[in-house]
Amino acid sequence: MSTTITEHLSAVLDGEAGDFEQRRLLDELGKNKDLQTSLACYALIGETMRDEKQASIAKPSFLESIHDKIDAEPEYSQIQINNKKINNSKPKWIRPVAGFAMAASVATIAIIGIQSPLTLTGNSHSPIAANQTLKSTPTRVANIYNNYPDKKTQARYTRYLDSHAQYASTTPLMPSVRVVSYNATY
Amino acid sequence: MQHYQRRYKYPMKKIITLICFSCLPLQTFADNKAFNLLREMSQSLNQMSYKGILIHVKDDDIITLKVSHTIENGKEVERVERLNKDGTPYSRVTNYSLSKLPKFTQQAQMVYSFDLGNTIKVAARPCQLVIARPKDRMRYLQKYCVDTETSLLLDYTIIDKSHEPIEQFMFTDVEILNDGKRVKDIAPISAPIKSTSANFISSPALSLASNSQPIEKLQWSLKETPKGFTLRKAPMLKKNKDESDTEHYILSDGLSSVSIFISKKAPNSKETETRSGALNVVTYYKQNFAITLVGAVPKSTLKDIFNSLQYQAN
Repeated sequence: MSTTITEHLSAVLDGEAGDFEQRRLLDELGKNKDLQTSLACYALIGETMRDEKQASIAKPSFLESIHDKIDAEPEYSQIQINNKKINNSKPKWIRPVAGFAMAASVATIAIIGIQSPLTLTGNSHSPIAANQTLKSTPTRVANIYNNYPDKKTQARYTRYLDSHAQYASTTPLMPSVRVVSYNATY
Repeated sequence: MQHYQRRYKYPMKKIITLICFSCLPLQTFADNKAFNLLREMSQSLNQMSYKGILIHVKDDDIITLKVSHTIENGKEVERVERLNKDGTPYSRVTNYSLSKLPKFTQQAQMVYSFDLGNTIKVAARPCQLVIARPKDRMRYLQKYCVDTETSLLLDYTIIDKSHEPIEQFMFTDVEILNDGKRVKDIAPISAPIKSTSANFISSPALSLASNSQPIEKLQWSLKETPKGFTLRKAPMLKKNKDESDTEHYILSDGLSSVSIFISKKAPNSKETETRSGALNVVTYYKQNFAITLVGAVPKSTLKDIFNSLQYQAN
């Protein structure tokens, strides 16, 4: 690549080149890979200097390295098993948490908590499918719930959430809907 | 040149001032219009007959509900069923009611500004976006989409401080069963309440124990009540086999509410923070008491309230 062309490139980036030089450079960029690399390099330098931020450069081998990492990952079936454990370790009190939602409270919570057939209206053969459909992503759940409370605390939360739903809830997102949502999760 | 500047300097200031002042009534008008629309919506949900399908989205969960709301002999009759993936009923949902919306009192205008957004379509019906935008970071932004013909709430979203929706319900199909006309008997709000201060917490302290019995010999109070919230007391939760009596207090700003539960600290109990959708639940400890705060507000707000709690021995 000639020195002249890179100088032109620099001038174009600085806004100092004329129309003729710009057209010529664009033509050259279409066929000169070295010039394309220089353009990317100059643009990155300029951006870094202007933004004073640390620039991240994606190398040509970036995608390949991702593929290598994926290949090195353990089997997905194993990950699912691990996540399943996380899911099973979720606090059961969250079920009633749903319950907080309503004056429906104790009865509703109990119904939801154990997914009693009493909540079903006729169609008793369908709940399993529904649960599968609506199940949460285990990793997401793990991010949301912290410091799982013990059983006593769970029972206490059930009462609190129920009372909150009955006396304090102001949101149009009805607590009972949340109850249903929780029911779906477990 | 100096003469020119001197001649036009003050007229320009006057023009700018005039523009600013002329915009104020427009903003107030828009604010009132949005707020009144929400009040209409609140009444519509009580008085209209409709049926439809709505979805509730929270975190990674999506559920589908079939809702029917009719007025029979002057009474509201609601039926809500959860649906399977194939649309067949899965379970009956009890104690569900869209008509239990907040009443949108003027109290909410102290801490939220109400703006009209675009008109969009939800469930193939035109609806008007109304944004309840908090004036501080103590509460979530709430977005309503109200049917332009019936004032029915078609879409509701709670959005957190990072502008991410954290909980939403939305009609995907709705059928209006009565004539579908707007509710007319709404008393319009004439003027919003002026915000008293931009301070994060500015209201005077309220005594938690002012209208209730103190727990044991301690008296709890709030050093500072979060701006816009008012305090009331709910019935005490009576002790059962494993738990002591629990005081229940409620802080509400009209659109969001926080419950404060105060009970004796159980042995070996730990501080807990958890969240589901817009709802945060935290338990912290003070002076051998467990204080659990529950509310659809940011966790930081719950922490502020907890930090403001103080007790005094009699």
